Amino acid sequence: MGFDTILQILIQGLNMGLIYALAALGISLIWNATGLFNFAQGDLLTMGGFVMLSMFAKWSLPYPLAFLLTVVVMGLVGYLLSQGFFFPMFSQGIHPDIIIIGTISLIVLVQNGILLTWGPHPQRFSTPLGDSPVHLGKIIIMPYYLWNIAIAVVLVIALQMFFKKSIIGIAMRAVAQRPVAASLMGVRTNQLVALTFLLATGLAAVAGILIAPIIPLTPEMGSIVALKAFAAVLIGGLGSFAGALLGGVIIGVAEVVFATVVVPTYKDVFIFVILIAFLLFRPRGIFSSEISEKV
Amino acid sequence: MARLAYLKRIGATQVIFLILLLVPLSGIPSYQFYILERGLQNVLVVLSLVILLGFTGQLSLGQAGLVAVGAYSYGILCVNFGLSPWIGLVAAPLITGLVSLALGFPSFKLTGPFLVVNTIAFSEIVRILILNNERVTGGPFGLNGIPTIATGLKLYYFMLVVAYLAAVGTLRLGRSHIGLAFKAIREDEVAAESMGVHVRNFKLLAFVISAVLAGISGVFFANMAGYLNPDSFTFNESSTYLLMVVLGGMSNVAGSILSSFAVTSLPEALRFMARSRMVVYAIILLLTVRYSKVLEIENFKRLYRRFRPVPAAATGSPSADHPEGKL
Amino acid sequence: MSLLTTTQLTKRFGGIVAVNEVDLSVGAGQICGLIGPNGSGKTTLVNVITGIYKPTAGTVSFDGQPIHNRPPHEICTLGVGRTFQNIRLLLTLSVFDNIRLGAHIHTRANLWDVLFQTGKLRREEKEFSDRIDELLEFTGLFQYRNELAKNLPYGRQKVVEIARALMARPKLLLLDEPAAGLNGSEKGNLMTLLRKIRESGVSILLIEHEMAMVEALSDHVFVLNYGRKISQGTFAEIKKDSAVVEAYLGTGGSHA
Repeated sequence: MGFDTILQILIQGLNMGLIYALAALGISLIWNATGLFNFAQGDLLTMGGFVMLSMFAKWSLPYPLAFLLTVVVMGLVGYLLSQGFFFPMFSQGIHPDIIIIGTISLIVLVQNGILLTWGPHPQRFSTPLGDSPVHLGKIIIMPYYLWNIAIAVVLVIALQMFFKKSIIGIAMRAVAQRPVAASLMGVRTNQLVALTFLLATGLAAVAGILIAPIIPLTPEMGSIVALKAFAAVLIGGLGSFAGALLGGVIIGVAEVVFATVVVPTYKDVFIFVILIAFLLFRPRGIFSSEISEKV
Repeated sequence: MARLAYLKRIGATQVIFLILLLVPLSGIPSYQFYILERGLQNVLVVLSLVILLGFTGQLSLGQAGLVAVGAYSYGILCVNFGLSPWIGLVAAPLITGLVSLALGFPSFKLTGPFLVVNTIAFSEIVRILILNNERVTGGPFGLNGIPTIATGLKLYYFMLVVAYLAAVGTLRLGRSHIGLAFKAIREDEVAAESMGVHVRNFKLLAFVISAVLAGISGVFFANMAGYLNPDSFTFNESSTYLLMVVLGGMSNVAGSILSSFAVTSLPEALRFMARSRMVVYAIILLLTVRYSKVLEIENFKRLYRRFRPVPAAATGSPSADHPEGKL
Repeated sequence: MSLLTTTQLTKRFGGIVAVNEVDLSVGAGQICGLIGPNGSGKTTLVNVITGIYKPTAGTVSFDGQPIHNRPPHEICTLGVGRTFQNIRLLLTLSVFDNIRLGAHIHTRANLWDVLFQTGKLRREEKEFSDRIDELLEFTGLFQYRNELAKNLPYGRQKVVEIARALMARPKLLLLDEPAAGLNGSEKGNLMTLLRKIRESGVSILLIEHEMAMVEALSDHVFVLNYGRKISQGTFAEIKKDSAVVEAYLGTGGSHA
């Protein structure tokens, strides 16, 4: 296998990996803020992709405008979800298993809502860079890979700065680590949870926009993407920013390697088996963040 | 007083089955009959969830995968191996029970979201395996020409008897010491273990029993349809089963049977909304969950008095991993 | 002959040593007190003994057998019963069912018996039902027999836990602060109950903050502080021990 093939695989893997990482980040953020697992991240991702489809491909809005509008709309969806659904249940002390059932019903709602609105057939759109292969030296690469990686990296850097430097970002980390102290310092948990959902859904939307050129959008794809994002979160460690990134990239690369070296039809099964293995043996992932119960 | 309550509960289930016994005899249109058949087939899966989720508190979204295993085992044994449908009827649920150990073993250590993810992953793996093994399962083209045990009214009454036995078995299980052990696991695993319940084995038992029921349901599905396709065993189906058991009251046998028929017949009742039936299901479930506190749905509140599952780092306690220092 | 013996029992969680080389023993027919300030490791010690935690070092032996590597459900079958500091009842079930759980380890009926409601099952359940009624009388809970556990007053819930533990016919009962949250008369009833339990041949290891109760009931007392055993003896003896006084009152406090 030539060096260029390996590089090609790595770029593809990195690309998908970053997309999974964005979804995984959303899951991690929400878990940090509320202790809840939002399985619907995968379907919010799909929804983001479809919204962009309508704006960019169907209504022919310019790409940057469509991108922005999609993220804003999805962010709003996330905000409404948190205020109308998740936060009330969370603060009422409803049993977490029941909230999970609620999340499942959300998934069904979104998936079938997408089905009704956009139909069952795979749909796709591309990036402003088009679909003609690009030659970088000896490597032939589809332009959207480069586009995706660029956008994802910029986003990740922006997020890092947000969490380290901005007041809101610091506040969010404070809530995750010391909720009592944070609320005493005047941070309002309710608003922060809303903000977290907004951010997480926005990230999912971006991921959905980035995934469309590579994997055509279908209503059911959310479940599979969510499972992979979940695997990424587990590998990298629950609650860890760097972990979500690392986990996502590992999953992305592993997937492509398996598809190329072994057989493409079972690449999903491969990832799911990794997921189950991590569930069993290292649920805390590489960067641990442990939960224990007082007996 | 306990004995009277026993009679009351048997009563509700018997009444339902009596109705199911008599209705087809009065001659009903074939589509309604099909709904009844489908409802019966769903009853078995819902009973499996009553045991697994209602009694034992294991939130599994992989039942569709288990039904698929049952259905395809039956189909493959009959079509590929030419065995008699009766052998298929007995063997397929047993095979499903065995396969469920592959689901149960990873699952017994897991709770909450981790368990759910595991069961979804399991179900997806089953579906993908079925889809990609065309030689054996017919892949996306489906498995055709499956012989049946019986057809029409005879099949219906056969299914009715089996479903009734399953319902009675579930009731007896729920009221027994095994059911008590299951419920102890649901409410408080530590207490259960401390009182001598071998939690791992009992969880596995719950998984296997529920898988056998799901497997029987799969056999019925194969008998009713005559052919199988992996699209009938997806996440949508698993969620629908979940909806049925939640609406039925989680651990309530009679309620779950009723809700099974109610949900199955919904597309018929809302014929104009047939395409949006999953959306309707989802909204119903969503609202039920969201307002469960207001509606005082006891089973949902399940009184979890220990702290919310906030990560250790967030407890504000300096000795985050010292259990005695925690909330 | 000692019924329960811990030898240099140690339990670490990460950097914290919750139980530090503790030696204690409970003899047959005894009530032993286990006291110490909050956070001194009493509950953790009990959790290690009952198998919920594995010890980092040291051993536990019960009735002549080592039990420190065995899982909780096995330890229960050997005759060790316990109650919890924060009550762990099945609140959505009746008092009767809660106590019935205690008989799980004695139940011979299997799945087949359950599905076919065999004579064996019926006979066994009748036996258990009778014994549960006996226990309800013994503990003064008979009026709550079919009541949901969550509807009981807190003090009665604690007694249900004790009844449940007794249902398993333990040789040793580990009670974790059974008097916490009880009012005066409830405490008196509890003391009477504990005496009756001892008279019936069950030994007790009693974690308590209620010193009057410990004094009145204990044959022997162990005192923990910061995970270490700092004193042991009769209540009168440990009361005078300066190490004990210091643990509770701090240095410079007046002596008892």
